[in-house]
Amino acid sequence: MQSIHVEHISKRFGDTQAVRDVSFDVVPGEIFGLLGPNGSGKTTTIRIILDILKPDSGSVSILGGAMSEAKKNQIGYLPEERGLYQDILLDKCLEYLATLKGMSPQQIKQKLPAYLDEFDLSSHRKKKVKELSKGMQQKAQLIATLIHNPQVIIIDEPFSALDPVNTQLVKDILKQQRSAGKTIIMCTHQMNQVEQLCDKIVLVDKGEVLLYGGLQQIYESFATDDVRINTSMELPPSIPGVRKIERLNTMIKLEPQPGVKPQEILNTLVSQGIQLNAFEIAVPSLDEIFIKVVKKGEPGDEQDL
Amino acid sequence: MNKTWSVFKHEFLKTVSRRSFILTLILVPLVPAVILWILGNLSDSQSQSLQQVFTGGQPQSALPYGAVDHSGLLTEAPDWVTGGSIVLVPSSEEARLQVQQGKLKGYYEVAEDYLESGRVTLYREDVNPVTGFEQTGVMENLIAYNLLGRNQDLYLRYTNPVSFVLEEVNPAIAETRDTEDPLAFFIPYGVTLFFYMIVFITSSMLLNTVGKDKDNRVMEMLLSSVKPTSLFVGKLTGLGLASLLQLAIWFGAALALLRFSGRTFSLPMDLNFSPALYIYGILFFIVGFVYYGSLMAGIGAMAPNLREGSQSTFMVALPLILTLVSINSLIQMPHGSLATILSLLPPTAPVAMMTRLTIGGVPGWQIGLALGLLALIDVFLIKGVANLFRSQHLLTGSKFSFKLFLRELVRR
Repeated sequence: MQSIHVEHISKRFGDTQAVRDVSFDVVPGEIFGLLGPNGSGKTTTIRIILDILKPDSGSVSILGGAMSEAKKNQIGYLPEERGLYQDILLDKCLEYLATLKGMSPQQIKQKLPAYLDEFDLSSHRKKKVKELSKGMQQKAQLIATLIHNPQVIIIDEPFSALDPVNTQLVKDILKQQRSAGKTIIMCTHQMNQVEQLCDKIVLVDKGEVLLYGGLQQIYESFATDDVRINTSMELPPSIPGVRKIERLNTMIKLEPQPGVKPQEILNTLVSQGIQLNAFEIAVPSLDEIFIKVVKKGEPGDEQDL
Repeated sequence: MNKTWSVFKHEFLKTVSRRSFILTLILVPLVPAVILWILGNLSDSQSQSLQQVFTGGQPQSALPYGAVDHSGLLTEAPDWVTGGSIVLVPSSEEARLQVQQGKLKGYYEVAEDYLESGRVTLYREDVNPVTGFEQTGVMENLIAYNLLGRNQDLYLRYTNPVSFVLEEVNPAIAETRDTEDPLAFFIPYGVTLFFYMIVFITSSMLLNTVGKDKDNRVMEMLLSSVKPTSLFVGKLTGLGLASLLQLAIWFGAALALLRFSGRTFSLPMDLNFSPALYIYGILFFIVGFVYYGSLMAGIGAMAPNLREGSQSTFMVALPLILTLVSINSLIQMPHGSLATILSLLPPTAPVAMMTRLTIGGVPGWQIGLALGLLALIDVFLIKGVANLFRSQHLLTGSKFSFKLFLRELVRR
């Protein structure tokens, strides 16, 4: 059963249609990628899910029904722009935000030191938030998102301002949360992180859904018979069955003629005595799919996979 | 309710533990206390030295001025009129000589054609802008006394020509004050000013805190955890209590200062307000604070940043400023049409009604109506501003417009 069910939501601000008829489901134990270019309606969609904004039409069901005060305690939210009190001490700030998630002072006292240790912030707990670096503030924000053990985690650009070590730390935590059966929605522009973490994605642009489905299905649907090879030998100007030869950085991309399969190209290359260092099916990257879909993305081109 | 309490507690503790709050809390009563203590403990000679600072560095001369009359009008200069500060001198030469001998500070010459021209010339050795004209009033009195035929009764009536007596048509709303007493003006004036300041200062704190939450981007975090109404009510009550605490300390310090400063001041007996006035004061502060605090918080929510929010408060504060401008009319005619209307209209009621209550004689139904209307508007405003917290404006930086603000406030 899905934890979040978004059904045909629309939202307009003045002359701008921020979200138009967006629908998707997120189930427990998955990391769901909410993707889209800047200004595509991702943040508005999140704010509607969180009941910060009311949709003009459509509905959102979260943890089995409409949002309530009790359900807010079951949600961890990390906004894109850091939202922490700058003029108060770090521990006081986190304590207050945890209190608003329904935690008792005893629970906070028990859990906060462990989180501060995990994120290497213990020695900074008595500093004012504004005295912390951007990366530290991002980690503090993550603590505020996770400390109350939420069932639903909604994170907007979680890797922003983090170095590679901390990026890995956050990725590990997200994987742990997924294994624990939590529902996770992640917004990010870092497609490599989506490829590594997400099970399912929805791609929105200009407030509309352009692409929605499991990551593996999406790869398969955008897969071609193109191959990439690496060879130290000079290729002949034309290869039977190959329509186009394109030199990439270290690889060479071969685009087969219609109906020609990669196996046949491999056989041809071997029969011509070309020594191959690498031969692979050219699966498109999520970056390429993203650009392709968004550039193509006229209204009505939605692909539900 | 728990979350409202959490927000309330956080806002209250955050405010009262702020360094600027503590400093203001201490310094506002401390500075005047120190000044009054110093003034109260100065010896007479020190007081005189202090006075010299304001009178040009010279000790005030006890020498009189001379008065040379060429018009034949001045024949008497009794001490009860001049206080010994002006003496008649027969000629200009004699007066000049006495000035040179240090017997006179200077002298007046009343022109021969005084009755036609009114010309009187003052001769003196030094020119002091502060004390230079100190004696001219006495000279005017002396001439008036002689013009009135040196008749003491006529002269005294001339100096105090009218004693107004105000009779209330309706004895039920008759004033309890003695209008002759200067305190009858200054006490309501002080209360009005005090109320204006507290309502405005405390409600401005709401603008500040909402604006800061927006600037810190923490508002989105708060709204993902708390209902807008709980968030707003928590902020309103937390800051309201912090303001009340501040005011209680200031008010207590002011009373203590007036009562115990001994040699400097003593509190007039008339300043003993009735307990009912304190209760009304607290009630009107609460409804007034909620009214203006809500509007200020609403502006804070709508304005793109704190600076623009602060610039937009003028329209909200306008009714309070108008009440302050009308203060003379309110005090002179506390039960007139203007005073009654201002004390019933919600935007002006918190201050105008307190002015009238200080004077006394306000019918109970008017107090109840003013409180009821304000409370009703307050409920509407709390809901409206809580709705504003849901508005996209809270999370974006769109330009503030008062028209849009009012439209969003009434939007369901």
